[in-house]
Amino acid sequence: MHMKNKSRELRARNRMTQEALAAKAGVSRQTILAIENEKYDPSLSLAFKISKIFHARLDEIFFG
Amino acid sequence: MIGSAEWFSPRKFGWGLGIRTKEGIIYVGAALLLMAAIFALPLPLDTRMLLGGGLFALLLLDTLHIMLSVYSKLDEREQSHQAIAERNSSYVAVACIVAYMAYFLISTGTPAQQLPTELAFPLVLLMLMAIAKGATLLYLEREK
Repeated sequence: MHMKNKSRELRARNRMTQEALAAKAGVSRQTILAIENEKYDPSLSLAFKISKIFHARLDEIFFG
Repeated sequence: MIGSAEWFSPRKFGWGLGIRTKEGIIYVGAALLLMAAIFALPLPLDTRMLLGGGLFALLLLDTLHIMLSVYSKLDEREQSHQAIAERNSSYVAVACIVAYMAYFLISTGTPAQQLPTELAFPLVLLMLMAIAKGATLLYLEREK
């Protein structure tokens, strides 16, 4: 079981493509897709990077 | 060096590099043509072996350099997938060796003192390991 997240919603709100988010986070587009589809839980450092990109708290993006 | 990491990608089935761009195809084609041309030259065999060996060493170093670049650029998810795939392929290797040992014990009544020396065994083992690795990567990287 993987964590739920609001990454897709936040990305849409910020008008960002998966490629753009992947480039900013330093990962592949497939990794962002896997996170949004809740097939992969990012590491703590990647989760922090994503929260910094969206200017949101970790628990606002990822929840279990 | 000569080749670029952007031209290649990690292989799914097996180990090493897969060609990603047309520049990669040109690089591999040129290397093969150059090797063939060296051995087609009207030179003594020793000289051709020396030149061919030198080219092979250069290509090997370049390939290792490209592989280091390609595999170091994998992100955390891709690295964990590669680790899981390698783990599964080693499970298959252990299973094959155990199966061979059991088959030998059952058929001869004595434990095997060594693995078979025929070429078929390591080739089949490598093929099964490569299939296990590729199947694992395909399963882990499938997109909905």
